[in-house]
Amino acid sequence: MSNDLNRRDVVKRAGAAGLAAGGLAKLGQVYAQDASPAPAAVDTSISGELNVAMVANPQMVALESLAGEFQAQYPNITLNLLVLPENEIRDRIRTDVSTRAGQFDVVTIGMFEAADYALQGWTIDVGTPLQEDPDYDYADIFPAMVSALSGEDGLLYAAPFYGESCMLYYRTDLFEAAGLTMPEQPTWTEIGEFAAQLHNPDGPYGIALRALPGWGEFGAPLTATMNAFGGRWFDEGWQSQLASEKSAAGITFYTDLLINSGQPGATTSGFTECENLFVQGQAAMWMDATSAADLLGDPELNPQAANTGFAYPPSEEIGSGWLWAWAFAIAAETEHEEAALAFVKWATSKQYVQLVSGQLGWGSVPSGVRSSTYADPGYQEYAAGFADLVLSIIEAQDPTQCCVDPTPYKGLQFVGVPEFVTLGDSVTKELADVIAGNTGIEDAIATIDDMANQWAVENGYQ
Amino acid sequence: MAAAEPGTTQAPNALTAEAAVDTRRYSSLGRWLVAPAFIYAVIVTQAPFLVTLYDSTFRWNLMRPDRKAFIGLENYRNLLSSLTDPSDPYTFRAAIVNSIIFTVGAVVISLLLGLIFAELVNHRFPGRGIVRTMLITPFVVMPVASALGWKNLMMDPDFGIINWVLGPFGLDPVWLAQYPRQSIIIMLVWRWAPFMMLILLAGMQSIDEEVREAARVDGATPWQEFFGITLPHLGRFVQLGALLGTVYIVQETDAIFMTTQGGPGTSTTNLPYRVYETAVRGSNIGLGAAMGVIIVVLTIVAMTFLLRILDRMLRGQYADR
Repeated sequence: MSNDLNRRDVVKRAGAAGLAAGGLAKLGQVYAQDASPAPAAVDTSISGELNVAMVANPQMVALESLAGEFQAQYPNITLNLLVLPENEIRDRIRTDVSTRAGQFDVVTIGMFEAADYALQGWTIDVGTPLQEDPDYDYADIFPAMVSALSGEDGLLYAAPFYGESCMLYYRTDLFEAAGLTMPEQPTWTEIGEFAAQLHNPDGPYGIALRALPGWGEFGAPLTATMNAFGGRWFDEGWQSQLASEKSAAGITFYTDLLINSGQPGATTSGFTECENLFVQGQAAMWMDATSAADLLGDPELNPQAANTGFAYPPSEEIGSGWLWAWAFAIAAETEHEEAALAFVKWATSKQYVQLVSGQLGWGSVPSGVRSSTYADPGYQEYAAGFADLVLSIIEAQDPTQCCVDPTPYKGLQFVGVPEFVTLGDSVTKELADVIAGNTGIEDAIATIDDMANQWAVENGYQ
Repeated sequence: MAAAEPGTTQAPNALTAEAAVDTRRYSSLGRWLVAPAFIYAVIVTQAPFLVTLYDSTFRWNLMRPDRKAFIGLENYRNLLSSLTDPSDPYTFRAAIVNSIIFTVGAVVISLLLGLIFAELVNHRFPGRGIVRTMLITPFVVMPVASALGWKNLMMDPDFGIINWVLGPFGLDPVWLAQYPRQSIIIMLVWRWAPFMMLILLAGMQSIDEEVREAARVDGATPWQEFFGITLPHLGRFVQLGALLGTVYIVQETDAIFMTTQGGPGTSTTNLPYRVYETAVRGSNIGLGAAMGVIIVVLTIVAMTFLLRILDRMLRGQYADR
């Protein structure tokens, strides 16, 4: 999405329309020459062939288009980028790294994998060398990101590229028309009432929320909501807490909210589908990742932009916690550690943020990781509606403290152990059946509680 | 072996003996010539199977190498005993049932529709070529693209064409949530009905026009012609379509992956999707391998049955000549 943004900016500035994408990229570079910072010194001391596996989201695609800059700086490093859609690249990276096949030197991993890969010795410490470089400004990275990507030994095993939390998007015009005011820090109870009042069965719907089965789709907002209600997946002894009073209340609230005031057909709605609904004016509210703010704040990409409000994610007993980052890790099998480190440092540096903003515009900047990005007047102007809010939400996240009660796992909108994938997938499937109207919520909660306990026994946690 | 030398034996027998030896010689040569292909086939099909058998005896999650352990047949015991467990802990029984529903449902409906389409385009009418091409098109659309189209353009409750058409009649179903299995079958039928049409059309065109003409001269109505001549002739083509359709549809994962992710509940999780969820998404190699082996056994049983039909069908064809 930010990719479209840049191209459009370039077109606007060049005063031309209808140019092919290839020509546009070139144009962008020509245009950007005066805007980009002075080129970094050429370093010929490091050499080697680097294979980098990346997720095909807009920020990484922007990086791909700037790979020439890295090559210019390190002419003796051969950079091979493999960019594939998220589901595909995740499976490939996981298989490659866990079997120590050594196909990739640098891999993109999420917060979910970082600590565990470190524990298994599949990735190496990148924090120490990055800290040693004063130009890198390690302290500029949000502490929550560092903490969530660190191993149990406290060392950083993956350098964050861009990060996100979650927030609530809403339609100020619909709220005004109904005589409602969105508090800056709403509670889920209030959101439930707003949704019921604003819901129109023919659209716009009261709220759009994900319910497409999958631990990373439905599982994320569901877990955040359940945690906000004081619930948790497991207690310290890995006994399932899904059927506990507070967890069940959170789960029931989420499913009821979707059934009564949510979009129809929610069981096929993931991030993208919800985003479409909101942009098409079919949803009065939407709670999801902060990364959507860039698109929703742009009047040319979102017809509702002028009427889009931003608020803190709803809280109940506590806030709906959510923290995610895509980060670069170096595979332990790499034969070009120095070159890999040079790449990781380049891609996650402050200078890279400046490079992207100069060449491609602020919409392509990997945000959510460094406080300097949010202090930059350029970004402040670009993201006037939400920059401060996103900053304050991310700064408030503590990945070690997801829930009211103690838990044996890390992770805010997920359970940070590798086997969670199968449990998260099955539980969200079962709850999707509730939203589809085929199962009662009480039966479903009993079922997922059994699933969680069985999963804990099978995987040696209980 | 001396007898095999030409000219050393009596004339009448010499030829046959020579021929026999030649056959033997050729067949042994033939075996050697076939060997590379045979060895290749064994390596690419049987070696992975042996590895799968080996893997299935481990408790092995790729993400937890520290917990990898030999557990013998426990994966099989768990899976097979889960078939009678009412809670279906591995979603294995549901996956078997769904695979049968999708395959039988899609094959039967595709055959019926394919038969209607084939009968339609087997008659001459203006624009027949265009209609035939349009009817075949769904089969050449990429499965992933067609699944996305079905999800977002056709079945979406807000933007979908189907509900836009049904709306004025007071109908507003949420297809993929309320009727997930039916929706998947609809997508499969859309793709496979053209395939069935092609096979059945080939069958119809192989009917001798004289037979039809004779029937018409004798005063047969178009219905009588269809049920008395066309349909009986199509038997083996229907069988072929059913067999090929089954082989392909039983592997379906694209439509499920792109639309429902196996849900809601377990209503659209079929066997291949379940194996993907277990072995690839869940990194549970041991359990996934055991599932694969059980599926192979089930498939062999089902295929033996189907191949017997094919065999009978082919023998029938030779008998005709």
